Amino acid sequence: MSMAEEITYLETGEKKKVYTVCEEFVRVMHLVIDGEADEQEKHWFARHISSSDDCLKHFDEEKTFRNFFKEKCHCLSMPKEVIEEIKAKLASLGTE
Amino acid sequence: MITGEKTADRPQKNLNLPERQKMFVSEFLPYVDALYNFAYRLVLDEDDANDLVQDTFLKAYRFFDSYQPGTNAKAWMFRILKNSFINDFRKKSKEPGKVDYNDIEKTYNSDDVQSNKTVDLRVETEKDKIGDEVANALNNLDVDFRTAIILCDIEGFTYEEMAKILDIPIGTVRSRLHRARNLLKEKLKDYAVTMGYKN
Repeated sequence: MSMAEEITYLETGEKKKVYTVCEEFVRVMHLVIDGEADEQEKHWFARHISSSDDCLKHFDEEKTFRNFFKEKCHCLSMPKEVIEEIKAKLASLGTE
Repeated sequence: MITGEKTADRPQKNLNLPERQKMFVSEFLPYVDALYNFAYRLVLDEDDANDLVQDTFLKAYRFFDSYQPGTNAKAWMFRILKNSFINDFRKKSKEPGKVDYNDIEKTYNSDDVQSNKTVDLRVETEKDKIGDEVANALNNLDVDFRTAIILCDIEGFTYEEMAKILDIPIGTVRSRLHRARNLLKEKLKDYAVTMGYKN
């Protein structure tokens, strides 16, 4: 994905970072997948992926990766004996 | 005093001990695995993760009266766990190693000293599981970035919930997530290629 570019306003000399469309796409794509995009961002995103196969592909890959990642990193369970220990400790707290 | 209102919001205050405990357990125990997963990813040690989760439950029980049933129980517990990690475990890990003589005495005075030498196969299997490249990449991130990824991508918390759990503004949640994802991608690039994924 392309990087942010820094532009300088000739009149004021003020520097500002601007993002290319694809950088903006990545930002909005994460918001969409996270369920945090507002209506305007959703609309912009839908229009963008309908006109860019590369961006659509990137979106699909990102969703696949997220699922894969979640599956790989959500595999731990609390040992049963520790759960029983917690219950016992809670019970003893109650009677103190 | 607004005790009447508060009691209406928090019915647990009016319960007797067994009912209160039953309510606590049914409200929070369903999140024990998610909490353990989070704890493990923070401390990267099974025993410490067990201790951290136990500590979280005991603290939550102590402050149960301040919890409003029907609100976000999972986020409430995650916040307590995160605070316990910062206040207790992070501090402890920065201190020089300490020996707990009570533990040693207990171990040597117990009848089953020999049983401690037995290899726990469950632990070995767990180690194999978490030896996976993807989990390793996550575990190798700085703890703040790791936390952001876990809360959002694994546990599915909203940015607002994350901001409350982590005590940071939503803008910081967004930027931390952005940076965390870039770092994770970087770490996973080689692994992805070997698994047949392209850039």
